[in-house]
Amino acid sequence: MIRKNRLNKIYLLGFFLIATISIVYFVLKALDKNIDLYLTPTDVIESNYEMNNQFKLGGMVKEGSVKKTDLEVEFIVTDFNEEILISYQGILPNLFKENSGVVASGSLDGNIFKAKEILAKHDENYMPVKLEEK
Amino acid sequence: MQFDFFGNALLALSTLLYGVVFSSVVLNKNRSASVKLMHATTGILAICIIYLSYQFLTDNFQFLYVFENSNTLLPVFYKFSALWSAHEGSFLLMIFMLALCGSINSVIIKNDRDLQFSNAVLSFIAFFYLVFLSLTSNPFQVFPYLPANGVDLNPLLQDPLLIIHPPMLFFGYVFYAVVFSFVISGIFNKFNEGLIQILKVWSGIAWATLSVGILLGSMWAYYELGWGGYWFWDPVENVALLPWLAGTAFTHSLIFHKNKVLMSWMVFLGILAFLLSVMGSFIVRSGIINSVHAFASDPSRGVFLLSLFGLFSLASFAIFFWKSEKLSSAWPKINSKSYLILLNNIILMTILVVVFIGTLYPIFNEIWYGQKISIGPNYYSDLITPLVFLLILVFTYEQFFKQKFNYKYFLIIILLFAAYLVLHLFYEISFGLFAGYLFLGILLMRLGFFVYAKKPIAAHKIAGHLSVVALTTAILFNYEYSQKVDLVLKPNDSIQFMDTEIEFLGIEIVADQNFDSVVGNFQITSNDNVYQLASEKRVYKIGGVITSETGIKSLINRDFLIVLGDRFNDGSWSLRYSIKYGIMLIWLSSISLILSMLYGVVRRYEQ
Repeated sequence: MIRKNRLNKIYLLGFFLIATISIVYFVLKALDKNIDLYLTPTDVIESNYEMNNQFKLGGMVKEGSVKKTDLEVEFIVTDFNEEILISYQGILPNLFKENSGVVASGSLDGNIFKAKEILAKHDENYMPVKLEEK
Repeated sequence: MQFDFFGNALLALSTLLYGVVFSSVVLNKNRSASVKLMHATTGILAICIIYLSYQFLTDNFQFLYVFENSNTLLPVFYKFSALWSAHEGSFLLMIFMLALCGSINSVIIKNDRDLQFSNAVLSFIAFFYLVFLSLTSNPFQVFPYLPANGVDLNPLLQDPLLIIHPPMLFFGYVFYAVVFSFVISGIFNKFNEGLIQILKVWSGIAWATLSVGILLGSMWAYYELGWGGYWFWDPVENVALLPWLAGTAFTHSLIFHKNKVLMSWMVFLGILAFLLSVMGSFIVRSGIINSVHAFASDPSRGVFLLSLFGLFSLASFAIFFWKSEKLSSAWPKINSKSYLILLNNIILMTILVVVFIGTLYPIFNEIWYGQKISIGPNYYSDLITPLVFLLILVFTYEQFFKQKFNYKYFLIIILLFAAYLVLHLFYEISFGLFAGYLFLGILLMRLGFFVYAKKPIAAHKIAGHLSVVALTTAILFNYEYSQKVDLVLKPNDSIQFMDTEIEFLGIEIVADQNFDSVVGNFQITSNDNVYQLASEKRVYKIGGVITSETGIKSLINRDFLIVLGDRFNDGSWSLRYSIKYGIMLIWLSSISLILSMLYGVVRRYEQ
């Protein structure tokens, strides 16, 4: 009786060991495939535009920089330190506007960031006039 | 900035009373009086809420919170709901709900010992949340002068769906705190039949409420934000999913009580569901993770919430390890019902771990390597899809449990595989979708068999599991067939896409109470059926925020969506036109899943 119990425990431990190892393996593999770096214009310029893979570029849309021709859109994203030109083909999200946060995913083509997808942030703290006196 | 005396006095008084309730139970003094104090505190918090609502309804912009979230032009309905539109008010509402649950328990629950313990735990939680509210997010701050008008409620929040979405999530969290309080009571006293019934009812309610909250958020993203999808694996969405997964596992694990196996595991899951919900509010409110959902983030709140999370975890795990030897931790017999539930729990926990790592990995990466990263949605879908199918396999097997396996089944499996190959070659159906239809068919047949045999079955149980399969199939259906295209179109022009023709009928300008809007009218022709839809861009009068209302025509199997883009000089407009499959099926199966759970709760309560 005791032996059978002990055998069961060994099976159980073995099962958990295999399960844990396979979970870790698959998680690491999936992470490796799907991680996008999240960079600011400063990061990109500091690396001398040497980014071959797809990544995400975040910052503010520079005021007066948005140019639209048909479905082609160009605008400058800034982190108030450095800036990068983004080009995108398609419809911009509703919340996209100048002086507002944006996250673009895509890759570099020379010094221009070709975006495949653009997301604008929706902000609960919606304040047209900043409450400075607070 | 000053503080309103009346509001803060009420907050301070209720904090004090919760301290008294907690200590009276712990010190074992005046226990009967503590129930009355619970009711009194609920009353005080109700006055707090009415008082703040009154300020909204009378446009008292001297209150900072009213000033930031309301405006004289706002419709009365939204003035009322603005109460919980931002951080301070929603926390106040959440604490009130916690208090209300304590009062409801005090009326309904007969077992005095369980009630006392649960009340002590609830007042412990409420005490710290009230301290947090008063110190870092006080809703009763006032200006020394009276501003002429308020800033307005965020236009995105001026939507009926969004009025109920956040409180539903919050209430789900609160109900998991109630479940947690009874789990703690069970550790100290005993998990008797009565307590298990209470746990079943509360965990069912908590699960259903949290599910409704998540579903509404999903619908809001789809219909209101016009993001063109219903789930994005964004960190803020994931942290609501974590307690939901733990809660789902917990609800199933309550069955362990029957055979007195793995009670410690069940207790662990109950604690986990609560702690994950506290962690969720920390992650959302501290702004520690990059998300497309930006909330008012404030470092001091983040630190406070993290300390609360630490305190609650420490307290509950200390109790867990201190008292856990009293709990049974025997393993269920192999190939028993409990064993299958354990398998289900392990799969659910694996999904939880996958989501947890995906959500938190970016934070650790940033702390250790100083590099910001984001994890793509494929990480989740690659890992979770096989796990969900495994889960479906397990619970479908459970339906046929205790039937002997013989060569007939082997034959059936070969036939099914052949059927898949034929369908794949001629109709290009994917394996996932085929498996979805297959399990749907099996469970439906099972349901039909039960109905035919007039067997008294737990109808809600099979309906719930059937809904999970339907939901999975609908999600795959949506993923595999949806299409979209960006276009430039002039009024009165038309264009062909897939099997539909889209015609731009024209543009009109409409003025409403607090916004002006541009409405584009479209006509979609598909297989001789004609559908009209209007896509809108709104400019709000105060603040000039532009939002757009996606034009959506929902049919049972597919949706047509048009988002109005920009106008060009030659009078043409840019548009995004998408055809999405299975969206309605996703909503319907989720609703039937939630209803199945609620039906189970009602039946249990009647008994």
